Amino acid sequence: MADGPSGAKKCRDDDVLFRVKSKEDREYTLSKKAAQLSGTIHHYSENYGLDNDEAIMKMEPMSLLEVSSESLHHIIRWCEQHRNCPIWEEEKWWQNERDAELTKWEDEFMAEMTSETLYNLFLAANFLDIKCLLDKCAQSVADMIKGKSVDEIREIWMLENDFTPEEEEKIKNENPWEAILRYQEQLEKEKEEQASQPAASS
Amino acid sequence: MDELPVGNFLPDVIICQIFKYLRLIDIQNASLTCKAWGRNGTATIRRLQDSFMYKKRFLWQRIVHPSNIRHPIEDRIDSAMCFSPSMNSVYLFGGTNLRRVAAFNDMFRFDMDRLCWSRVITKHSIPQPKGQATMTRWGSNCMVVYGGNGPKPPSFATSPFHSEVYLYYIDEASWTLMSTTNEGPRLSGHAAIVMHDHLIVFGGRLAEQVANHTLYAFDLKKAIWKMPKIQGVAPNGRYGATFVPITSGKLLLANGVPFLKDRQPEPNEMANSNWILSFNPEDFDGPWTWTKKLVHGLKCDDTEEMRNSCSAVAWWEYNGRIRLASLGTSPKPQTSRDTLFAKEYKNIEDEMRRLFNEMKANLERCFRERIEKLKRIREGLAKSDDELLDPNLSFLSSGGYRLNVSNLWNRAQEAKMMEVNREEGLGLCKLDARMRSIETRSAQTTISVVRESKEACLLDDTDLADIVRAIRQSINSLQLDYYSKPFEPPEGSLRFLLRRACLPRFSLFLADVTNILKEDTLVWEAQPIEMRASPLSNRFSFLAAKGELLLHGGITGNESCVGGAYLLSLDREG
Repeated sequence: MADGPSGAKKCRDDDVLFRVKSKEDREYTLSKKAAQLSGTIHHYSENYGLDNDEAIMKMEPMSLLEVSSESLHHIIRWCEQHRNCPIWEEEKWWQNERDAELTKWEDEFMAEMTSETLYNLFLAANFLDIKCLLDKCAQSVADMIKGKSVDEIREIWMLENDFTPEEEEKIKNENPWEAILRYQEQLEKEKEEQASQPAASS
Repeated sequence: MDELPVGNFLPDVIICQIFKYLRLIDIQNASLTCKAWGRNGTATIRRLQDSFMYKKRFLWQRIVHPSNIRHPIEDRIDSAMCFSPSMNSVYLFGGTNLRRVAAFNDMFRFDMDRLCWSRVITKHSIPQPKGQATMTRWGSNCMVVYGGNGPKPPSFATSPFHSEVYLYYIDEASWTLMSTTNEGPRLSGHAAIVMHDHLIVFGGRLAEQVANHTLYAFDLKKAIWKMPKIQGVAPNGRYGATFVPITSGKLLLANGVPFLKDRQPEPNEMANSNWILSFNPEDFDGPWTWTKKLVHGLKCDDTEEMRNSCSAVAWWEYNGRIRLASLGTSPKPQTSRDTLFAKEYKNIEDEMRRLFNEMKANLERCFRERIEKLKRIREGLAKSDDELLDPNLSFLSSGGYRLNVSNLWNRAQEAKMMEVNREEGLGLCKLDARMRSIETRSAQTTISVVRESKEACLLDDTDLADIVRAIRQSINSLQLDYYSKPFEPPEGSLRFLLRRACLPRFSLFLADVTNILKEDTLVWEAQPIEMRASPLSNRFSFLAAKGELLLHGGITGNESCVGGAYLLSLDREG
């Protein structure tokens, strides 16, 4: 991607390569713009004075001990694809037209992932603080959970049931969504009282 | 611990992020998988419950039947609806069809977990068919159905109004008619609620043009109708108001349209005053009082149309807070909304074009291949037996053939039929395409071209043109269907149709009435208009379920059904 000598200005931008190292000590490079998508790398570059192109060119590879080579490979693919994306603005949510091709690319990208790689990618994206990737990961995981039973979710997501039977019972029975109608409870209480009163008097 | 898979060790941040995209039922299921997910799930549900009390942005979503069959319930208006938390379902009773020619008395259940309708088979005597009745919950297992009016009779007669009180038991799915000691009022379009074992009823009408200004209370235990003694001022009768319980013995009469004999109500008149009804729950024979509260901020364009809305206010309560939601027109200038929609329609139009081109290209390719094959068969170049057994191709007795173009439509998910008949001489295409919306795209498209003349058994360019025209028509009808307008033969370009389909949309209004007893004014806050919102309509039903609001029914200004239900769920972004 970096070696396409098309357009002098663009080429210069793309020539500035960020060097990162995976857990397995393999070195990868990604363009400056793509690297800016990651909050972690952004902070790193601020702290280590990597604010100009020259400094970046000379930099030692940044070691990402939490990220495996496989995940890093995927992440770099993602970032390079998204480097020219405008930042999502909440206020103009209706004006933000999603690029159809990019969305398609994202869907294909996600379709490639197995649940294990997706997990690792998710963790890596969290570590590197890449918001758009995090959102997309969460979205695809959620899509796979939707409408599934407990056992199905466990199977798909390779989750082990680490509940004790009592804990499971407790979660099942304790409905977190409490009665919406407070007065309804009162009514039932009153009913009970009324029911018990004649019994007591007789 | 080491054997546990990575999913069990996802950081909480990530699990919460995933839960953000899930509905309540899915979060509950996911919580049961393992400890980490359970911990986060419970917390997320708590948060969801809290944010239901203060969050302002709701996202609209139209619910359509998963198959292409239009569910009979989708076109119904004036139905009575009630939410049952124990079943997590919305129950719907009766209602009328578009022109009130027919009324119904069946019961449907809308499952909020799976978002689908199912008919409830009920036992024992069933209420009269009617619309604009009210259904309110009494305890957790019982619902009280009261009032309503029957279908519009022939011009010389009056439509029947009902005074019957029915109890519906959810567990047993059974009806019980209450035999009352004295006869109650015959009301429809009234406000009703059950409080302290009394059904309290106000407003509505006694006959077609007769307003009811009296408050009634029905003792559900003793089956006696009472007319409580009112002390001081009282509001005039109104249609389609809602009672909201504030505390014990205090009710809020929200919204509704005033009844005016000599003139139409002024815009914004519908809700310029709400009233608090106070009574002593210990002593129902004691004096009852009304207190006026002013209303600020709610706007509704079409008051005359709004007059028949049933329960236009949804209310919910949690942790001592009470919230109301209503629908109206956006106070923002019309132009910004128009540009917004123009954009949305342009997207749809582009999508349509793309779909159309895709399908056309596929069809053309498919036809070319088949024609080539047939030519080869004729010339004896290919073995006819094998070729003719092509499962996609079959000859018709009329000399034409049927071509099954399944799998042509790549994006297709579900099976659908499309039939194209060519009328001799006229060159017209008749089309029976049942395509519900853009979301439910068809998969199996069967096009059969029937030709009268036996000589012309090869498809030529004119056939292709016919089919393409048919597809264009089907896309047009799909377009119309998307906005639930009655089908009309399309004329002119897509753009023209889109303009016509451009209906103004509802905007959501929210109010917090926790401290309404101390305050003088009820303040409604308008929410920004949403692209996916329901078109402006009246005679809809609107209510709150767990963390979501449901809107059903309604007819738009040009007298057509909105069709389907709309779900308003919390926007949990950010």
